[in-house]
Order: sequence, then C-alpha cells, then structure tokens
Amino acid sequence: MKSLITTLKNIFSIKELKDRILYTLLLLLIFRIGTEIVLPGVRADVLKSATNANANDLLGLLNIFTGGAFNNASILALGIMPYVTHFHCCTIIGICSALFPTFTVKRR
Amino acid sequence: MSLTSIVVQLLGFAVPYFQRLQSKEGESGRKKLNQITRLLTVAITLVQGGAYLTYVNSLGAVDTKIPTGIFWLCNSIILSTGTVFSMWLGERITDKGIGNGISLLIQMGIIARLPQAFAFEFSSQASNNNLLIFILELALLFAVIMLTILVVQGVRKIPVTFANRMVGRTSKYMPGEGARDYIPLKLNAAGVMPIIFAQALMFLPATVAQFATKDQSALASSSIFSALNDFMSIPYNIIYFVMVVLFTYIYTALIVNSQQYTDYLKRQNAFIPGIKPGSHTNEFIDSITSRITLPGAIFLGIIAIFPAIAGRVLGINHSFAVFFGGTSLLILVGVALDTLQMIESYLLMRKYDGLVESGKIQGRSSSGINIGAGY
Repeated sequence: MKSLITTLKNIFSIKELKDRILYTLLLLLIFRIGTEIVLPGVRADVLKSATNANANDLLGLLNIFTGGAFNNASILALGIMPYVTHFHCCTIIGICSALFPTFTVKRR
Repeated sequence: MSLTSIVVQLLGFAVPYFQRLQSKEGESGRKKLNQITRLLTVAITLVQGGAYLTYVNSLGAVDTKIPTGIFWLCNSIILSTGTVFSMWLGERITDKGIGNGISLLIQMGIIARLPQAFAFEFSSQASNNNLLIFILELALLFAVIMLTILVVQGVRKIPVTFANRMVGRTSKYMPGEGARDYIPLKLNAAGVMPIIFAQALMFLPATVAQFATKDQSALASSSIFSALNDFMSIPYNIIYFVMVVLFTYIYTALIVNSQQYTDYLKRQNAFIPGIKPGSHTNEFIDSITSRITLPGAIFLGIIAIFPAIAGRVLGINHSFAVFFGGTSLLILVGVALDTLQMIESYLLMRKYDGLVESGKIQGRSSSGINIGAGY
C-alpha cells in the first residue's frame, strides 16, 4: 500500500505526466456531461420507461457500450459508434484484400 | 452492371490507393487518410442518426408539439456534431493526454454503467438476504478479471541467439541485450478485435429485421427473431462462440507476419537455436503461432459468452452479468493495461520505480490492436 502512495507521488512529481493525466480526465468529464444532455424535442421520461423493458436485447447491449447515452437520447447518443462502424468497414476491406490478392494486383 | 461488379471495381480502386497512402506517402498520406476517415464517418453518422431518430420516434418519445421537419433536421445535425465532437475529444486525448483516446472513450462508456449495476445487484441480493452470494459473485468477478489479464499478457517466448554478439559492451541499439533474447509471440495476438467484430455482426440480423418489418408484434412473436435478439439465449451464444473462434483465426493470420520476424532475425544476424534461417524459421514461427492460437481462440470464445453463463447458470442480474466477460471485460482490461503501460514508461524514463514490482506490463499496442488506432 505504501509503495502505491509513493508511486502516485512520483506520477504527480513529473510535470508532463501530471498535465497529461489531468487533461485526459478533464476531457473524459466533458464527454460524460455530454452523454447526460438530452436531445431537444425528446421526452426523456417516456423514453426511459419505454427502454426499461429492453434491457435484455441487443439495443440494451448497445446502451451499455455508449454509457447509457443511447437510452437517454443524449446529444452524444451515437458517440463514436459511426467511427467504429467505419473502422469495421476498413477491416472488412483489409480482410478481403488479404484473402483475394487479385484486388490489389489488378490496378497496377 | 451488377452491384457486385461495382463493389469489386470500387475495391480494386480503393484498396491500393489506401495502401499507398498508408505506407508510402508518409506524413501527408496519413493526414489525407485521416481526412477521408472523418468524411466517411460523418456520412455514416447521417445514416445511423436517421436510424436512431426513427427508433426514438417508434417508442413515442417525441414531443408532438415540435414540427416533424424541424425535429429531424435539428437532431440529425446535433447527432452528427456529437459524433464529430467525440472523435475530436478522442484525438485530443491521444495527442495531448495519455492513452488511446477513442479506446478510453469506449472504456468510459462501459465503466459508467458499473456502479449502477453494482448497486442494483447489491440491493436485489440484500433484499433477499443473500449477501453471501453477492460476495461470492464479487470473488468470481475478480477471478475472471485475473484470468483475462493472464491470457491478455500471455506470450510464448521463442529463444533467439545472436551470432556476433559483443561481450562487455552495452548499447540500447543492440537488441538481445539483457532480458530480450526472445521473440514474444502472443497467446492472443488478435486481442479484443475478433469479439468486437463478431459482436457487430450479431447486431446485424436483428436490427435489419426490426427496420425492415412494419408489423412489429408479428416480429416479436417470431422465435428466430427473439432468439437472435436476446443475448442471453442459447442459439445466440452458440453462433457467437463459433464466430469469435473463427474471427480470431482470421485476425491472427492477418496480424502475425512470420516473414517479418524471419527478416528481422536475418538483419540482426540472429537465429533460433536448432532451426535453419530462412524458410525453416518462417515455417517454425507459423506452426507455433497456429498452435498457440487454438487455446487463445477458445478462451476468447468462452470470455465472449461468459456473461450468458453468468446470467443463466448462476442467476446473476443481467445488467451486472455483462461485466463478467464479453467485449466489455476485454476492453476494460486491455485499455487499462495499455494506459498503465504508458504511465509506466514515463516513470521509467525518469528513473522512478514503476507501478509494478517486476516492472513489466505488456500492453496490446505493440501488436497493433487498438480500436481506431489505424487499420
């Protein structure tokens, strides 16, 4: 336990590291606040009671990955989901070009 | 022209273009690729935002006083902006903060649900006078996390001998000095990616069915749909398990490039004792990789379906059971290890004692699996 405290002291004695960690925490806090702000025109109470039922299906799972933003109809409801989707698309293309090298050869 | 031929032509054009941007054109190519990524992401945002608004609308949660057109227009823009903002936050963290920003944002989302799930499980067990069971669940969670760390960190060390190694001189440019006379082949080279990928594919059928069918009540009573839509059901988990094992194999084949190791050894004038350099070494590394991938793949599969086991067999509350494995646990463990490793390297650079006695945390980043870190 003592060594943990000294390590934490060490971390905060390095200025650059301290700044980087605090900056990261600040941005993460901003992200969290964003997930709690509801979209205009959406009745949060209705949404809440309607989505309580689906805890077990896949949309419930999606909600867990977005930190509850999905069921809140928050302004960050999609979060980085589109980015991840895009990443998946690139992966599929990557797999295709690895499996079928003809894709890459053809256009030389 | 058929649709497939268009797709093939597009791929034939796009793949070499992206490869060239990524590998040959250096910094400017990377910037261009980032730009394309952002634009495509915004395009995807518009589609997903529309789908999401349709979903919210179908639940009847839209205020009727607001004109429909304004609601759709405003909220599409807001959702797109929200995504771009999240991406910006992630990139800032990667640049000026610590850790991989996008991974950390995903991690935040998952962690944010944890206290709530804990409290819910605690109160429901406490009201049944089952506090002992709650403590046992915590012990099980601890054990699962330990096991996950063990396998994420697990490597097979292949010993390497350097032919012209100088004795008595130390240089940081000489690999093979000190503890690193081996090639570490990861037990789980593919990391969390196969699970995320399989997970994304599992979302597809149910989502498409939901959007394509007008009669929602008929859909809900269909047994195939309800089995695929329930992540605790047995058919869902069997398919999921098989997909995770399969994708782990594909990913490992893509990531572990035995030729790279062989070339590296050749350049360093090194060899694996008992194995001839060149193609023999190549085959040797290949065979070891495929041997350690099988247990790795099966382990990933078990981790992936463990929430269902925890929920069905042990009767753990579903919102809490999710943390017993699957994508959430692997992301939590992986990102935490990566971030720790980065802090560790700062400490070591300035000659402080690290976070761990033995001084070795291996993140996953070295083998290239970071969500959103690249392709």
